[in-house]
Amino acid sequence: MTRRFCLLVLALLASTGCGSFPRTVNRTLIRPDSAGSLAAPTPTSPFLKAHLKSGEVALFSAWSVDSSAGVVSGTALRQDINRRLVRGDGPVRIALDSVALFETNTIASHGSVVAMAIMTGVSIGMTVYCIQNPKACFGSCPTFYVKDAGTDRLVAEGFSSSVSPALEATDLDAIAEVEAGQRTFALEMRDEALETHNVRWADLLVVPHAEGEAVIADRTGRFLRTGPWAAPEQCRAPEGDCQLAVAARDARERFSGADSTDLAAREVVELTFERPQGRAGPTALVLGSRQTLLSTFLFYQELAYMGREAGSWFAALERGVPNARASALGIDHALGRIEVEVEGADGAWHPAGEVGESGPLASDVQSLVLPPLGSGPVRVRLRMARGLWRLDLVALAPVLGEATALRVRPTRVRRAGTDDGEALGRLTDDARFLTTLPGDALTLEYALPVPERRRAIFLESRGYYLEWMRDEWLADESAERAMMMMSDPARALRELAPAFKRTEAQMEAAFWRSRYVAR
Amino acid sequence: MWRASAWRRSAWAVASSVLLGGCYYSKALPGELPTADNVARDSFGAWVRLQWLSPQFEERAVVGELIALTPDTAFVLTWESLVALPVPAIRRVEAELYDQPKTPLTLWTAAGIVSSLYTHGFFFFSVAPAWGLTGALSMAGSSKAPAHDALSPTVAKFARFPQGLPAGLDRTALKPRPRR
Repeated sequence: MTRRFCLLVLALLASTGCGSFPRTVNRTLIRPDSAGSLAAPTPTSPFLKAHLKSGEVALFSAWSVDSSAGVVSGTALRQDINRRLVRGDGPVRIALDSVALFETNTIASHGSVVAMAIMTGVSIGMTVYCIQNPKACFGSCPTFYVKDAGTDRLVAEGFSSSVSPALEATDLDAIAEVEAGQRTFALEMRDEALETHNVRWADLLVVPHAEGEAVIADRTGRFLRTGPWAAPEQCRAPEGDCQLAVAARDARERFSGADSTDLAAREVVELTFERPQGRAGPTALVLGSRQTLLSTFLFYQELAYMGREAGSWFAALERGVPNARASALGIDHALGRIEVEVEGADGAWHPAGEVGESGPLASDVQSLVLPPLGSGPVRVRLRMARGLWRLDLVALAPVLGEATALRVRPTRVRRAGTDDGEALGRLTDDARFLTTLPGDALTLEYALPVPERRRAIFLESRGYYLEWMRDEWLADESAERAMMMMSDPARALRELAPAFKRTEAQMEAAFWRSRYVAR
Repeated sequence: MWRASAWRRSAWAVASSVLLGGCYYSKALPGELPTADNVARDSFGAWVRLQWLSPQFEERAVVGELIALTPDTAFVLTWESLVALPVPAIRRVEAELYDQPKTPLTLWTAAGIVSSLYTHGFFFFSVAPAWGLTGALSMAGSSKAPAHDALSPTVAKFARFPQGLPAGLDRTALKPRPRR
């Protein structure tokens, strides 16, 4: 916070005290025969006015009424009909029968002051929250939306781990199924965070398939045609039954809280599937998931520790300094992916591979072809860092064969409804990047091939992004701790566990509220 | 860069809230009304502007201090004389009972918007509009509080003589509120 800003806010706040705040005035008139009900002076009603039958006024600052004697007496000044002073403040005794009306005024703060006070309270609360949780802010990499029944549905986030040019990567996301007959497809690509996005391409990979089939992509980029997916018969997690949460791609997700002493602590979710009948071919595990905000918290914490030297750290990464890349990804590796194990015929658990993609925004569907299965029910274990993954779907799918994808580049790019030829040129030239800044939103339009068939649509995006440093992060600057996160991630995950647990419960809501509105 | 953009948005938010909040403005001249804090000590009448239909069916207006209001007659003291208007002939009423300050709320709103720029991080983009809206509504609401568009019993209480014209009053002896 700069000195100039402090001075400005202090000056504004001080100047609010120079004038009075809005008031409400409640004026009450009382007949002299009810003078006995006149209350004593109060801070909000310090004066009593006696309107005399002659038209004069007596303004009391202290008063008492003697109903039996029929007088009001006290300290007052008197004014004539033109409100000129007849007599200054002094003892006054007035007969009630000379008074036409008594007047009192109760002055209170107007409701607008209450509203502003509440807003100030909210703002102060938010300030305190932001100071305590500087890493609970929206970070996203490019987000991709499709129009769905009039609303924007988030379907993918591109290259979440690519936080510098040296980490530029390609990302593949399953985003839609389109019916035969549909000839065009539109996506909105947004920059919703304090980040600079450099997008080399955002192509569609379109895979035609038969009715009743689905298409999945495995981690090597192969496309596989599958038969109907089967939900698990049972799902057991440390907290209990999780079958409903993972049975379908819906709003329900299975997730847990992180360990309070070690963010790398593992947990196991065990699933049981009915064995696919009548087929001898391979079977794939289909898993829809996204990360919680644990990885975002750790990334921002690492940037905060780097502080003003973040540029130097990233420059080392770009120069290819030995171990820089491994160090940069140290935390990511320590947290790990979702390890899949399958129970063999011998009753032992055998590793089958890993799935899971970085990013806390859009759930991504990935698959893993399992080793040959035994004759009984299929039992699968998912081993992962506690509190790191949100599981949306786990299913078994019979693999029918490989499929071929057709690459489709955007044919039109619009920005705020207007064609943007420069952006289109950059997205269709692999040698150049399209650079976007916070608040940018571009509509990408594609012409779909093979309109006579049903098709699965995947988005392949490539690029990297640069996170912007925030002032509030600089308070945490510590080269020693930044080095510890890179060289000894296991220790860092233990030491940061209490800090994350303090914010974990509110982080999700705060994160989504802090999104940069792209319009 | 984002902060420059946020500064621009802050300036727009402050300006918009002031403009929105200032949609209502007092028509009384400076000094013609007491401040809300002084209204209990002030014994002059409210500022009124009454539009009425003359016996010749001409629209006329009278502006001045409300001296008294009875069920059938409104007495208004202009700079020239005391005017008595039959209440049924009055077509339009603008009455202001006291002067409501606006500057503190404007500065409060500005302080809220500017401070959220530096202390709220990304929340600025949701908190600043809330500040602007609250400020604008507060300014508009508080400014309208002392304004009335009918000769209601409330307005009658703010006449110089809420009891009605005193018996035997020399109407030519009445003088308007001195200008401050």
